[in-house]
Amino acid sequence: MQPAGARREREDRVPRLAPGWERCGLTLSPAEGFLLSRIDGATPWTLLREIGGLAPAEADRCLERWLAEGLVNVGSGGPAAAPASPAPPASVTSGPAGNSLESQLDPSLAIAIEAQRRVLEFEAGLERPYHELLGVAAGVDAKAVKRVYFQLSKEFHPDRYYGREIGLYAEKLDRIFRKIVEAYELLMDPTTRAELERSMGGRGPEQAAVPEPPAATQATPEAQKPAKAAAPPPSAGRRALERLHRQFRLPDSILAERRGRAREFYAAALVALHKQRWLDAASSARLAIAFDPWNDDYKKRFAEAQMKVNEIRVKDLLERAEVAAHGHSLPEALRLFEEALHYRPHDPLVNARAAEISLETSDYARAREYAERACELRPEIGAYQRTLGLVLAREGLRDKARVAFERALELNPKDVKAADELKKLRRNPRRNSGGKR
Amino acid sequence: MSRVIGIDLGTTNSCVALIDGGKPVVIPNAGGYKTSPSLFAISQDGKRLVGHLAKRQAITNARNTVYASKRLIGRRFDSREVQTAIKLCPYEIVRGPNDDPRIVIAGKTFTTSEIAAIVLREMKHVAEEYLGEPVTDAVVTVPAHFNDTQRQCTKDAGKIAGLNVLRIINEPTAAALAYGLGKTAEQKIAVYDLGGGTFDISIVELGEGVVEVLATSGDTFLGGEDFDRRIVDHVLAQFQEREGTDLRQDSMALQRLKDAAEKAKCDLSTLNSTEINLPFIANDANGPRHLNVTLDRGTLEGLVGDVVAQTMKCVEQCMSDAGLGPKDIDHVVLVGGQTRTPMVQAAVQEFFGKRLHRGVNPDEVVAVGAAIQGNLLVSGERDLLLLDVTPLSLGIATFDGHFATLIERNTTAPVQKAHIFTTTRDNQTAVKIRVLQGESDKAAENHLLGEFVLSNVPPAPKGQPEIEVSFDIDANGIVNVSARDSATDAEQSITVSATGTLSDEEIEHIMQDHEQHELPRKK
Repeated sequence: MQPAGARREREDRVPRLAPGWERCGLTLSPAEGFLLSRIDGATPWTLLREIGGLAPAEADRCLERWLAEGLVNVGSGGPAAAPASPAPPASVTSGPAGNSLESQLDPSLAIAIEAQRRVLEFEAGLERPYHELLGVAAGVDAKAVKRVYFQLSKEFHPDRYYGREIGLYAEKLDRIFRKIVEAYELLMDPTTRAELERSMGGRGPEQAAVPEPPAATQATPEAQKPAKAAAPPPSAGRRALERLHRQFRLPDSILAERRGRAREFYAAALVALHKQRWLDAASSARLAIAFDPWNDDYKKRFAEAQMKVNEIRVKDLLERAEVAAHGHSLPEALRLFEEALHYRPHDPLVNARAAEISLETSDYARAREYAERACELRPEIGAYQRTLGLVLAREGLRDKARVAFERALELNPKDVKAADELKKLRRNPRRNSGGKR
Repeated sequence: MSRVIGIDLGTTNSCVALIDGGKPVVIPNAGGYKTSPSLFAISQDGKRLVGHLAKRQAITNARNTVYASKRLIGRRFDSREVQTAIKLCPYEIVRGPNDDPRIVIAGKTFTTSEIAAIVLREMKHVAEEYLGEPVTDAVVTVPAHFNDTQRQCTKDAGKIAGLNVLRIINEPTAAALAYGLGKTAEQKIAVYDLGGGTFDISIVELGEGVVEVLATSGDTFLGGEDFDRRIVDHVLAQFQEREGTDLRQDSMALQRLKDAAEKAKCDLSTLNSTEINLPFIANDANGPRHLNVTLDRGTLEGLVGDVVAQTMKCVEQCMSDAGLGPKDIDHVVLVGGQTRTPMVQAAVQEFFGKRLHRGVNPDEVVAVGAAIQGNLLVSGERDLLLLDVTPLSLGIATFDGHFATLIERNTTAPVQKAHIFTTTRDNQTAVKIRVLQGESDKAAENHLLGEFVLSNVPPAPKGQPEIEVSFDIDANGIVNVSARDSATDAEQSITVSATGTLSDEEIEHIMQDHEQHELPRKK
């Protein structure tokens, strides 16, 4: 998204008042009010600059601001009803985009030309801010948002043309509808909506005058960092926030406020750590990270607490697994060992136990995977080699099994069972290739 | 324009409807009934029987008659539901090659999709008989909390039955659609659906001709059959006490008792007291024994009070999911025959504090809704639209055994969501993506839909690679999951919804098999 380019394109377009603009609770100077009154859905941006009674830069600033607030739409793509006759020809002949739109119309498809035009126009403006996309003003109530969402759904939901030949329009409808849902979800969630509208409000005149703050590009790499570092899944709200970071720059006042909240949670996390309430500590630290994803201390404490939580969890899992194994409930035991492995994938003992249990349930592929990992992690333990040998023997991989048993004996010459198995392998070279007992 | 039928494939009864001359019509079967039992049997001399025919011989042929198989469809053999069913059903359930439950009757093994297909084919015939022309397109309903595997198995069943299933839609959604026909004002509706084998509660919003599901909750193992079972257990205990004979081992007696219990239950919706009379139920040293028990409404309410309470717990859960209180609900719609029980109506009425809506027949409303949706799809009508939502959350397992949600439940499809994950070991070159569906934080407690491996990740310190996992659900509910390594742009993906428990060849094979066994139609 190139702001400069977008701006140039916008100037060729026709500003139009969004439906529901009256309800925005505006405070305008008389001059701004006059400019607003000139917006009639037919006069293009460039001319408004001339007739608006304001200095051109001032007029631009006002229009940019109203655009950001969702008060005004540009072009003919807004969901406002298309003005009677003059606008469509204007958009067809004037803008370079108009021509390419027209060339995509295809009367042979099972979708009316009017509808095709509407789809193309809506698609062209798909990257507009969410308020503008839905054509709602900031502060408009949830019911109105929903009404617009329903109306747009009826128009753009792919089911509208179910089973009909509509060519490329199928993809376009799909794309449009997804975007509408995204906008709807963000605007219906009070938290994300507040963020969106605050950032719109925060873009005051002095900022709006500078059209190319690389807010979007700057925020992106930073915003992705927390997603990468935080292994636990962030909440839905958090994901929406990340998306917000990408789209808008948060004003400093909000960032400061968020950092303040992060500090509070961090303090709580420290107290909990001190009292060894690991679960509390982890969740407090996680919240601190959510509010201030750039602080490495928070991440460190979170990792610390999470490790403790996991240790306790693993200990419990292993105890339960051993109980299940002794109670001959092998599938349950295996499940518990595997869950423990999620937390401690490099624990040789757990791998070895998982291998033994899998072997008993005749799941050789799994048994082999675990046995191999155990051997890889602690090659000096004979018992692991023996387990691997047993698995390989069952799988019929006699040569490999022999190597494993030999190695087990090398490490522990008193391993009677390994010696036994090795003898068997050597004695009857044919018979036990399948699986013995 | 081709006709689309709507089929409510129920646990105990099924129903078929279509739109004729702009009006929904529920189609009666050859016997004149508007619903048919979802029963399938193989008779003593090897004939295949469906519906009322199957029910009529169910008492004498209990071991070879399949009922309530919908509870098994798409589940794993080891699941709680299947294990409970094994204890309760007179027919045999065995472990299939894909760990799916299979049903053995008359020495032949059937998949659950096959059984469902037999019922669907029957409904197809009912519609064809009525129309006098072949029908292939259908919309089929399932409980709102069915996961993708269960939905896919239902779709497979349609295919086996020779149907082109345009959509699988949620039963409560269908009910709301039937209710919403022609309505314009914005309303929030609670759909309380207590059928034979499943319970669903959904909060649906209708407005501007759009139907949207706000929240759904429910229990696949809760329904009218629980009422029957409670009555059966109660009567068995009484009989044992009085006569000293335990009828539990006698499948014939049990089936008779089950039928009688169902009838008594229905009677008690209008009467205060009824009798269960089963002569010659058993034989002992003293000759034939008869079962004769009086049941009154109070006793029944005592027996099933906790079942009703359990449904109300689901209702509360669903309401809090939707962030609504009873006052926010404009209408309450009852669906399913079991909602005829006065105690159920009273409980629902008390919770919502408003009169219950009786404008729609609880047995037929779901099929009508399905027919409406089918008609909407093919007619391209502009005034009404069904916005369907994902019934369960979708996500992947993280390395620490947690479940990372990418698409939350009740999200409107089509939709795409992506998230960035990373590696947990240094120089890790492959990442396993396990796609899960469910609501638990723990990966192990959710339903595994599929898995795949993204390999050739360039070696790097842990936490550095950026792997974008993206979930995409199209308008047909097909879920596609892909993982992309942002460094190399290498990408792997799977389509998870396309797999039921049967392969395409198996379905083909079963279809041929069924054609051979078709009973000659005409009566």
